Amino acid sequence: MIRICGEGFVFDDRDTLLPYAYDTGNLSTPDDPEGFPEFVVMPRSADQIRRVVGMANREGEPVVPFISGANMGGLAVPSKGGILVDQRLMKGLSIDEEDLYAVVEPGVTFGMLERELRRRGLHFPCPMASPSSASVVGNVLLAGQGHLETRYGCQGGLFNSIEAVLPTGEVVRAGSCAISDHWFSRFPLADLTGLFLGWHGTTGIVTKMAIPLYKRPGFKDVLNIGFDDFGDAARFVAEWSRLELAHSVEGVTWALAQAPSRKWPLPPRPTGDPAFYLFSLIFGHSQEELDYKKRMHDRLMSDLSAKGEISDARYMEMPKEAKEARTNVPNPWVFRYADHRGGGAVAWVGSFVPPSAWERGLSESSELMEEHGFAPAVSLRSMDFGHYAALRAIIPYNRADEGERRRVRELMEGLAELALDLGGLIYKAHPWVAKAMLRRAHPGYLRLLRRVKGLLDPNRIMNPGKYGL
Amino acid sequence: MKGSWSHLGKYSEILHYCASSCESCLLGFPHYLPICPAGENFHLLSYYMKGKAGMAHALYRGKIEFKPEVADIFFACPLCGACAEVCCTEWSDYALEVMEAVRAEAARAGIGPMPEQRKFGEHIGREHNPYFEPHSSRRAWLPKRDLPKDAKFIYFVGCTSSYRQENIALATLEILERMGIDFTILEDEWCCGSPLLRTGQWDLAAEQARHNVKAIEEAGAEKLITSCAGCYRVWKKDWRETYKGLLGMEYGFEVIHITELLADGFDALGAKEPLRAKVAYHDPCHLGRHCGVYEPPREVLSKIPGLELVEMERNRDGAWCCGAGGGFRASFKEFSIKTAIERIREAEEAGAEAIATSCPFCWRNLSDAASGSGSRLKVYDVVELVEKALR
Repeated sequence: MIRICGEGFVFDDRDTLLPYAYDTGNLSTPDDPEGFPEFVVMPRSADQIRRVVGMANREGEPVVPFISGANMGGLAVPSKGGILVDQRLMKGLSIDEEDLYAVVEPGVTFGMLERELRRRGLHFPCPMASPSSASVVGNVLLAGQGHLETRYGCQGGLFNSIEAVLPTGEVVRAGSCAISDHWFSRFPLADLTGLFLGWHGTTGIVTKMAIPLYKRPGFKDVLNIGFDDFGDAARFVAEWSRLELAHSVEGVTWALAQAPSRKWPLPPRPTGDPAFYLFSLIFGHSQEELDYKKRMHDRLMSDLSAKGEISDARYMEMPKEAKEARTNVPNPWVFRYADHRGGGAVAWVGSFVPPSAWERGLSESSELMEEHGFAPAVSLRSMDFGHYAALRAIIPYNRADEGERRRVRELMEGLAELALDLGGLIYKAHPWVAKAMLRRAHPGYLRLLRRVKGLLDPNRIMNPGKYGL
Repeated sequence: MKGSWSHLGKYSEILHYCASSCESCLLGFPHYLPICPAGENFHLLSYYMKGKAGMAHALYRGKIEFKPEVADIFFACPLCGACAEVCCTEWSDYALEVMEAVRAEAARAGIGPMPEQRKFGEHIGREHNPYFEPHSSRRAWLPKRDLPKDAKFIYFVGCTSSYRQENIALATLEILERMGIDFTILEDEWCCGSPLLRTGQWDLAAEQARHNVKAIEEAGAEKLITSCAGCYRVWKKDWRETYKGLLGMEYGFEVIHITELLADGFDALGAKEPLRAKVAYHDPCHLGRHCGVYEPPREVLSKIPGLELVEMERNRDGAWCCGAGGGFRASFKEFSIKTAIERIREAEEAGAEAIATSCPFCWRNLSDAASGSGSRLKVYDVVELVEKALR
C-alpha cells in the first residue's frame, strides 16, 4: 500500500486511528468505539484507489470508503476491520459554465464548491445541516437533503455522470461520460448510476462525479410563519409546495427551534409561540419575482384560512442567525444543538415520507420523543414540490451518559418503526435500521439487491455490514 | 495512566463536549478555506481538532494507549486556535487548554515534549531563553542607554526580540523614547514562559514567570509593554487566568501591546515619511484570536502616511497561522515553513508588496518562508514600519 499510495499516506497504528472508529450519530463514541480500521490509506488519484481495491479484493480484505464521515449513521465506520480509504485528498474540481456542470472528486467539499460557484454566479444545493467540510460526492450518493430540496428534490437526483472503481478493481463509467466527453446527463441511457446511489458504499468507490449547476438568483428571502396545529402545518406545506414557487419549504417543531440556543430541559412552550415554525426560502431573479412569490404565499394563507383548512397561521419574527443559517449555506451555526443536553452528540432518524403521513409523522414522532424523555425536536422538509418530505427527529444527547445512550437507541428504534409504519423510507439508514427496513422489503427487491451486490462484489469486501448487506 | 491524570483530569467533565460529527474545525466560515495547519500538513483525520478531541477523551478513559505515536499527534500542532474559533459548541471554550493539558501529561509520562522542545526547555531552565544563547548576552542588543532602575512602564522585550529579532526591539525602543514614555527594561529579564506552557513544561514556565513578577514589582512598574504577541498573551491572560494556580502569585501591573499604545499615541509622533507600499497585516494568533487584539495594529498601519492596508481573505479571528507557535517550528520545521509559505502566497494574492505583523516569531517564520520560496514580499513588524515613518 505504501508502494501504491506513498510514504506518509498509509497509516496503521491502531490508537492513532481512533477518529475513524466511531460515529456519535450511530451511538458509538471515542470511549466506546465501534470498529477500528487495520489501515487507513489516503490516495490522491483514482488509479491509486483502483490498485488498492484490486489488491484488497485479491486478499479478501474489507475496504471501507470514507470521505468526511459526517453521515451520522456509522456508514463509514469499519465493522470488520480492513482498509479504510480516506479520499479527502482527492480534490479535483472543474467547472463547465457553458454546459452547466462541475466534475468533482470525492474530496471536494461543499465549502470548496460553494466558494467557487459564488464567484461565478452559480449554485448547487448545499445541505443546511451538514458541515462545510462534508463531501459533495458522499452527500449525493447517500441521497441526502440539500437546502433547496423543495425545488430540486433530494441530492440523489442531482448528478449526471460518474466514474467508479468496482470492488474487483475495475474502473467503470455511467452516464453521458460513458459515451461522450461531456458529463452533462444520465438520460436517456440505460442508467447504471443507480448501482452506486443509495448503496452506502457497498458496491464500489466513486472517484469522479458530474453535478448539474444552476444560475444563482440575485434575490432571496425567508418567509417565516407559525402554526399551532401540525395538521394545519402539513396542509399548508403540501399546498404551498405544489405551487412550485419556493426553493425550500422546511418546518421545525418549537423544541427544535429552541435546541440550538437553549439547554435541556426546555421550559413549557409559551402561549403565543407556535408549535411549528415554517421557513420558506424563496429566490428570484428580480425583486418583482420575489414580491410575486410573497404575494402568492400570503394569498395561499388567506385562501386556506377562509376555507377553514388552516387557522392561526401567522408571520413570525425571524432571528438574524436563523435567517443566516438558511441563506448563507453551509453554515456552522446549526451544530450548536450538540450542546443542548451538555453532551456533544447528536443522533437522528430521518425518513422520506409521503404527504399523507406528514401530520402523523410530526405528531407521533413528537410524542415518542417526549415519552423517552427527549425534547420533541422534529423537522419536516418538503421535497420535489411536495411529492414527499424528509421527516427528521433530531436527538441531541449526552454521550458521557451510558443510560442516556441506551434510551436514545430505544427511541431511534421506535422512530424508525414509526416511519416505516407510515409508509416511509429511512435514509442514511444506520446498519441496524437498514436491517429493520429490509425486513419489510418485497422479496423481489431483496433478491435483486443481493444479486447485484454479488455480481459487483463477489468477494464481499466493500463496506461489509452496511445496508443490511 | 488511567486514574492518574492530574492535568487532564481537570477537564474530565467536558471531554465529551466535542460534537465530532460537525467537522466545523476543518474549514473556516464564511470563506470556506482550510484553517488547520496540523490537518492540512499531516492529512490524517486524527490531526484535526475533531480527532484530537476524541483522542483526549479516549485517553482519559483508558481506551487508547498513551504512547509516543499518540502524543506526537498532540504536539504536531501550532495551537493556533482557529478550530476553536469556528467551533460553535461549548468545546470551543476548552479546546486549546485540553490540548496543552495533554502535552503536560505527555511531559509527565516521559513521552513528551518533542526532543527539540525538551532541549530548549532545558536551556531555558539554565539560561532563561530558548535560543541556546547565554543569559549574560540578553541585553546585548540594547544600545548604550541610562535606563532607570524604577519606572512606570516596563518594556518586556522577550527572548525572540532580545536574541534574534533585535530589529523589533530597537524599533520599539526608538518608539518608546519618541513617545516620551517613562520606561525601563529589566536588568535580569527571563523568558516569559510561553514556549514552556505551550509544550507541557509547566513547572519550569512558572519558575521563569515568578522571577519576572518579582523583578517587575521591584521596579515599581504599573504597566508592562511588550512588542511580542507570545509574551503579551502569557502576561495578559495565561498567568492571570488559565495558569494562575500554577504561578501561585498575583500581580497588579497592566499589560499592553506596543500597537495598543501606538494606536492611541501615534498622531503625537508626527510621522512624516510616506512609505508608499501596499501592506497586508498578518494577525498573530497569540495577539489576535487568543487575546482579541485585531484593530490597534490596523489603526497604526492605516495612520502611516502613504501606506495602503490590504486585507488577506483569512483575517482577524479567521487568520491562517504563520506556523511558528506551539513548539511547531522547533519540532516540525519543514511543515512550519510550509504553513508560512501559504500565508505569504495569501498576502501576494491580496496584492500586497509587504506583510506586517506584531510578533517577532511570526516575523521570523514569515521571513524564512518568503526568502525560502523566492517571494519578493517584504516582511516587517508594525513597529519597524512606524520607526521608518518617523525618520
